[in-house]
Amino acid sequence: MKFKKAYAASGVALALALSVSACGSDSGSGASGDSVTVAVAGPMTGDNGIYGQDQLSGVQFAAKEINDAGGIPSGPLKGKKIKVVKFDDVADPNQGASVAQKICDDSGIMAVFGHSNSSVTLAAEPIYERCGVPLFVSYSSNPAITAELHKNLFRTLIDDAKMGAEMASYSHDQLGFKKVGVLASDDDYGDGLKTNFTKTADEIGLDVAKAVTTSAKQKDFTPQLTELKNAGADSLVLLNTYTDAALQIKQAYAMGWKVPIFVTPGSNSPELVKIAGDKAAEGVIVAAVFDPNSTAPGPSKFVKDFTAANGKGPGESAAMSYDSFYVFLKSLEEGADDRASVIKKTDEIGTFTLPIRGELIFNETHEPTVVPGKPAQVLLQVKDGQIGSYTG
Amino acid sequence: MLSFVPKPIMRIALLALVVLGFLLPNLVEPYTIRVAATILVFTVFATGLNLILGFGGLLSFGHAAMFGAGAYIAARLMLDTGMSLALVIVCSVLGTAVFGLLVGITSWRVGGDYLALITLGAGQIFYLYLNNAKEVTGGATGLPGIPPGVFFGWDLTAIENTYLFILGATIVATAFAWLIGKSFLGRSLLAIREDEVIARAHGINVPLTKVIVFGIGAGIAGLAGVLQVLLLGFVGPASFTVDQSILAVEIVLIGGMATTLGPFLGSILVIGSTEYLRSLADYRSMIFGALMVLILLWKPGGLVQILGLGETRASKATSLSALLAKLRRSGTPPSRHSAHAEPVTEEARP
Repeated sequence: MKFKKAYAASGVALALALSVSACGSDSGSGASGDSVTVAVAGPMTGDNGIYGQDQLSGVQFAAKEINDAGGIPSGPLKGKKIKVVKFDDVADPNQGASVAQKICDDSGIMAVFGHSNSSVTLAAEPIYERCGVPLFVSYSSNPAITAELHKNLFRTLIDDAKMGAEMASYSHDQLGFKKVGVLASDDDYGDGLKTNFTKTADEIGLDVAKAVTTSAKQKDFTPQLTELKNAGADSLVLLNTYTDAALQIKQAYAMGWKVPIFVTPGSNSPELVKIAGDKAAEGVIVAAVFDPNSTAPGPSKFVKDFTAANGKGPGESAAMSYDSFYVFLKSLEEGADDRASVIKKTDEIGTFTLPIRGELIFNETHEPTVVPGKPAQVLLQVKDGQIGSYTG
Repeated sequence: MLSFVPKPIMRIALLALVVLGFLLPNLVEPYTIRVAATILVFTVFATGLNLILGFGGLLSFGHAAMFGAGAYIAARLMLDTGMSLALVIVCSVLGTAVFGLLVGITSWRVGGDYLALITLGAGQIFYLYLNNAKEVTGGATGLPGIPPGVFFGWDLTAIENTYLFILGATIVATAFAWLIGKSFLGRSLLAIREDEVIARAHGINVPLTKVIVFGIGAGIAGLAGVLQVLLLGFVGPASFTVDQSILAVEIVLIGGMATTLGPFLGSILVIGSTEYLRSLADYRSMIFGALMVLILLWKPGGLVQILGLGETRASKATSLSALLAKLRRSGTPPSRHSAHAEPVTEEARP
């Protein structure tokens, strides 16, 4: 009998908790008269949590800048403040879809920034498209996302195919690698990069000693590193994000294997050095879409102000989502005032001048046009525990 | 908890719940409908596992592979052929059932811990296959842009229609599992779960029964896979990891093993909480882990027993260790018994 009562009590408590949280989740909705609400959707918790949080901090920072300067500078919504709400998709396509539905239902949300994992973006996109919510993708780089035109989707980042190809060219031309060992993660990011890296390497005559795939949640990469070392690699290319790359750098160092290491834009985060350790990370070369040491006025101002506001430097995804917010802002300034007109205006404007990236031209499937001779990535290098400019 | 309510009233309440289920699209906003649809997909998924784990006592950690097989077969057929949805469902369910039979054959010789390991391995192999067979499965990217289904002229594009279709399928799957539970097969399974030796002594073909239930359980999970494709319009390997298999085990144990409503109740709690208790995110697994232990210790009939909804045919084991011992014993390979038998025959020979 005692137990029955306990169960009844816990059941009631759970029901109460469910209903309370259900009510609570509605409070984010509704555009009040003097503000414009945008959503940031991405993994806020779990293994990928940092990417969602980084994107959120980028958008929040952009919103803060605009709000502090007196709201939206021009256009029909002039003077209105920006309100940012966050949604957690836990990097799971199922939950990404329900997050998308929730955003769709909430007519107070004008645009979405996200998601992070490409598989989640692919699952959520059709839902946004059906209900006409503009989706600004700044960190999902799978080519399938922009393989065909989705009217509501704008990606401000080049895809894996181009990134992988560019990294191969850099390895061969600038870095002078002769025989590279490649480690790739088994997700869509690593896989896409690996395919295109090896393809381009083949074309330009860069010798790939071996390309090895690591599995998700793996923490000890020594077997794969040994495999590459034994294959005679004179350099290491890590096609994954910093959570894997940092451990691999650390473990290669611990093995006493000293070769030049080249990592992706997904590893361009202060966390890379923090996890790997200053000594191990020294000299690691980073392919970056965002250069935090740039002396150009836009990026340097962003880095300075962001660091002052957040107490730590911006990661790559924060910078990318910050930039994508300015695409949205431009459409508002040019006359957009609801979901449909944001999509229409953004498509019409086509060419944007963004604070960090500079000029961005959307191509016919709404991804950045690649300008020949002007690579989308720059090389950076770790020096004294900081990711600084590449000096060779 | 609700056991004091007379049976006829419970029946009417159940009927009212089903009616409410059908009226849901008119009552709530699309987000809630989508969550409800996800809960139903996992109900079907867990219903398949309930036959294997709940009735048969066979611990499978590879059920997500069955779910995934159904989803990928359906996705491929919907992308490549203009096949009608009814036919897609038939192909996916049968295809997955065959896959399940193949995995189930391993239960012929092994059981308990070993079977759990083998199914875990099968699930992992399947996941690696999804990641690497790029031409078929799209690799790590998955298969995006799967067109919405049309079921005998009924367009399932709108989430309301998808939901109603999934609801119908869930009712069919639950009714089917209920029939199986009532049938000779269901009772044989319960007998095998409780004591394999006695079941054998009563003329039950133990290995065959186990393989058959693997096939049926897989077929039902395959149906869940099709429903998942209809709901998402996308499949990717991330949805079919070992974590998902464990989630299904959680749903079955929390809902109530060998009960009809268990998978549904478990799914409401486990899937519903991922949506409505997001703030708890990282603590959820901990809470469910503790809940599973509590349920196994005191209420093996899970939520069904706690709420007093219908009969529970969960194991009579009163403690976790006893239940685990039983699960283990049920899987002892037949060779052990023959090993015991052999000396006897030798003694008898002279």
